[in-house]
Amino acid sequence: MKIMIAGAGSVGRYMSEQLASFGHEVTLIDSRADALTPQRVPAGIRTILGDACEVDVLDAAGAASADVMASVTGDDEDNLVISLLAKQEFAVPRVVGRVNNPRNEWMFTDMWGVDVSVSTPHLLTALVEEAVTVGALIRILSFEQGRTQLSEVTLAPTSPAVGRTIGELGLPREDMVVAVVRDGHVVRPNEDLTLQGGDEVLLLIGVDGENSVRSALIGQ
Amino acid sequence: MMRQSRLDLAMEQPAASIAFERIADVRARTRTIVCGTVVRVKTRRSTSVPSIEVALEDPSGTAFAVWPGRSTIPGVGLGGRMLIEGVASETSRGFVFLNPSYRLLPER
Repeated sequence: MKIMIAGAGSVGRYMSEQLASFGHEVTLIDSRADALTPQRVPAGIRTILGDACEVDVLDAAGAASADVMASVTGDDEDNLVISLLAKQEFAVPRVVGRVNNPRNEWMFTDMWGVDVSVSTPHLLTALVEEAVTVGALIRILSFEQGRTQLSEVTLAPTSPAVGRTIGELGLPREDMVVAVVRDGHVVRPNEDLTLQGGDEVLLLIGVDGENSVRSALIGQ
Repeated sequence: MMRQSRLDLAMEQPAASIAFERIADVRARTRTIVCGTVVRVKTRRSTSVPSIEVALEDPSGTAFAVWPGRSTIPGVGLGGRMLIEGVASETSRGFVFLNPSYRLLPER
């Protein structure tokens, strides 16, 4: 796949190295010459010195035939502009936008060209919450522009789900238990698996599915 | 220098003389101009920012255009005819132009 990455900071450089090692054709764009030196960027990665917010630069970098545009600069405004241009001018099939300040996350939607937004602070917070919180629904990751959510609940001893099987939970079709982690082991979530206090339940939840999950697993 | 869309360049040209292609002949990711009648106008409101989505129909099919950040476009309404220029993405429901250039045409 042809992947374009805007922003050759530590995130962009790491991504380009990883993706190139998987066999993808990677182009890395940055406006700073010192970010694109051979010492910083491994061989085999095409580099473009220029402002990725300019259509001509994206064009020269090959946006017209790129499969993915990942805008991962440290500036949210730039990431939004680059994402919009990638979708509007080049119809890049998959546009990924990095959100540095979680307060800006609401803007990174398909309306502005972003197919997937990734907010590292948000992800870190969710993972911290997931590790320490019992009896609450933690949203870890969104798919499909937020229409599907990967979430986690660690069952409190008082959870209405303790002692019931997954089948007995009566969750709607849009919600699916995808894994249960018990004592450090992943347990397959069969319909007749009986849930215990302390189980970490991982779910894929569709739009409007959270209320059902909350009442079944938390009791709200 | 910014690439200029052909419509922007053709502002001096009468709209009726601008060449366009059939919606059925549109290829994804290739800059093109299509001409059609507005058959649906939908305003979406995601968080506090609106967007307007138009379904444009010509004898060969339907395409969609989305303009973010606004809830109306003056002069664009059901039954109106317009030219749009842009690069279409292929989606499950058809071709979608994000923020295309456009010119309104007089009613037939």
